[in-house]
Order: sequence, then C-alpha cells, then structure tokens
Amino acid sequence: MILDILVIIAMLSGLLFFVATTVGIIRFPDFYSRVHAAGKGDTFSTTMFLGGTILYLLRDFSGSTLLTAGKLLLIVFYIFIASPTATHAIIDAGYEFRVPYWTRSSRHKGTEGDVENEENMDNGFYPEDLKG
Amino acid sequence: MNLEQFFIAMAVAILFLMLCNLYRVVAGPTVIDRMLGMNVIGTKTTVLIVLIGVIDGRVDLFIDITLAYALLNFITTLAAARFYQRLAQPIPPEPRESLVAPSAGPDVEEADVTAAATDPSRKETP
Amino acid sequence: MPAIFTFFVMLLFWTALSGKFDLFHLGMGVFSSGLVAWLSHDLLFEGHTKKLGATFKEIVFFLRYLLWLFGQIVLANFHIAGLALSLHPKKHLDPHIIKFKPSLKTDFARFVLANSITLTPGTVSVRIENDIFYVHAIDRRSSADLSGPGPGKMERWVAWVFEGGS
Repeated sequence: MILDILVIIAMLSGLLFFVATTVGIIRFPDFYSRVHAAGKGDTFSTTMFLGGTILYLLRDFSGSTLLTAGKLLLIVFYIFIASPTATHAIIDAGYEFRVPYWTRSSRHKGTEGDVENEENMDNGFYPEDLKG
Repeated sequence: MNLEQFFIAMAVAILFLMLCNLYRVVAGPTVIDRMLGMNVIGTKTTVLIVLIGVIDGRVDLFIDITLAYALLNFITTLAAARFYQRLAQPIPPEPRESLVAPSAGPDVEEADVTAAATDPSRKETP
Repeated sequence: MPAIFTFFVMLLFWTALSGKFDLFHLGMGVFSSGLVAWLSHDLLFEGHTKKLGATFKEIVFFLRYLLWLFGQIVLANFHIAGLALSLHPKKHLDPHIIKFKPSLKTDFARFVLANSITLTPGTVSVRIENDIFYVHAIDRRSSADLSGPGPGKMERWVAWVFEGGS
C-alpha cells in the first residue's frame, strides 16, 4: 500500500518535470537555453519514471523480478551517464555551428533580441557556403 | 490497489508530451534544435516501452528492447552531433570570417583563467 | 591485473543480461567475456595505478558524492521548472559563457566534473579545450560558484573523491 503511493508520487513528479521540460523546450528563446531544459529535466524525469517502475516491480518479490529490477537500475545508471554526454555533444556542435544566441546585454537590449537573431539563424548553414 | 489504469494514463500523457516536443523538431530554426527534440523524444521512448511492458505484464521481455533502444538513441545523437560539428568546421581557413555574424557565438567572459594565452581558436569571440 | 578485473565486470554484466544460470549460458559468458577482456583489457582501467584498498575507498567516496549530486539534480530541476513555467521567462534569463581552469589531473575526474556541471542548477558544460572548461550558464546567480576565485564547491568535491583533497 505504501509502495503503491510511492509509485504514484514518483511517476507524478516525473510527469511534472517532463511537462516543465517540454514547456521549456517550446518556450525558451534560444538554442542554449533549450539545451538547459532538455539536459536536466530529461535525465531526472526519466529517472523518476524508471524508479517508479522499479518500486512497482519489487511489490511481488522474487528472483525474476529482482533480476528485472537490476536491469532497470542498469538502464537508470546508463541514462545518468549517457544523457549529460549527449547534451554536451549537442551543445558543443551548436557552439561550433555558431548558432545565434539570445542575450539581454547592452548590444541587444530588451526582449526583441531573438527576433533579430532569428534573421541570422541560417548563418553558416550550407556546405556550399563553407566551401567558399 | 490496481495500478494498471494509472500506468495507461501515464503512457498516454507521455505520448501527448512527446507530440508537443515534436513541435520543436518540426519548427526548430536550426538542425541542432531538431536533434535536441529528437533526443528528448528518444529518451522518453525508453520509458514508454517499459510502461507498455508493465501494462502487458511482460517486463522481462520488454526490458531488453529498452536497453537496446537506449544505447541506439545515445549513439544516434552522438553520431549526428559529431557529423554536424565536422560540417561546421571550415575547410579552408580564410572564408570563415565572412560567415561569422557580428553577434554569432555567445560572449565569453574572463573568469579565473590563468592560461588564456594557450587558447588561440576562441580569440575571435567578443 | 586489469584484465582479470575487466573479465569479472564483463561476466557480471553478461549474467545480469542473460538471466540464465545453466552451464551452457555461463560457459558462453565465460568464453565471450574472456575474449573481450583479452582484446580490450587496457580500455576500462586506463591509467589507473592505485592499489586495491584505495580503489575501494574511492568507490565509497564516489557513492557519497552521488548522494550530494542527486540533491543538486533535484534543485536543478526545480530551478529549470520554475524558469520554464514562469509567466515571462525572458525576464529571468541572462545567458552567458564563462571559462575557468580546474586543477584536476586525470581524465576521468574531468569527465565526472563536466557531467556534474551539466546536471547542476543553471549550468551546462560546452567544451574542454586545453584544460579550460567552457560553461554556459543560464543566469548570473548560477554561475557564481564556478566563476568565483579559487576552486568551486563541486570541484572541491570531485578533487576530494579522486585525488584525496579535503
């Protein structure tokens, strides 16, 4: 009974953070901020979902469910290593790509900075340009 | 207490949120944005497969698929990121300057760096 | 010596994945993990020269560090959720890139530090170039720990785990 409530709490918190991730990915003004939302929320909400599943599996305790729970724990561990690495690879590729960024420092004042940047979004995109 | 209905509701909610993420994949201004959206969708697909296994009552079968899918998603993202990073690098060194917009590249602040002189490639970022 | 460790890690992994304990599957596991250990024994523990007791101590320290890191991840998620669900997220954002030079020696410690930077509130590590970390921070408050003078809190944790610092 307590385990059931724990499963529900874990899954609902995972869903909450996944909602936050999705809203962040849709709403944030530039690429780098979206990477923030994806890199953190994705890892943690996946962990919460899989942790809830592990608790649900351990409700009827036996050898085979223990093995399955061990495999799930392996997936959680793997995602904890792989997701920040994938995030790092994506943001590194974007930085090398010179993806335009949104800022509110003195050069681009106010919230209209992203409109200006969206016109520059295609810079350096095409391989023909790169070949000069 | 039977949690099957709850798991079905969770799976439907995850599917809906994945569709919301698909907006970024379709409308994302750059290729890297699309890649980011696909990475999030792929990570959540592993959760979805596990939930389908729990609903079916055959988790020990689906868990291997999940493991393979997680590995595949990671490798895909890494390969695509490396590919576009390689694409963004200049083939001749000169025409790079014409491509860089004055605002391109986030501003780099000096913070507690003792060996900034050993870093020639980032000098052009303001 | 690293080949034997690699062999046992691989055998454990095989057993967890196969889930069968009869002679045929275990024999296959011993054969294939022995092959892998023979081919790539220098990859898993590359440059690891410590004694066994020191390695065990390092693992215990690393688990304690993971506990602290998990708390930081929860904080990071509340931070990013608060930013995303606020009414005007652009008012709170102030993205910028900082760079700093950590004093960590080994590659694995740097890998752990970079991944931890990605998972903690408001910062994502962009690249490591000539020992210098480039870190993208989403607002001014979250980059204060890294850009301050001297090693930050997280760097001290990682140094404590892997290099016997304080």
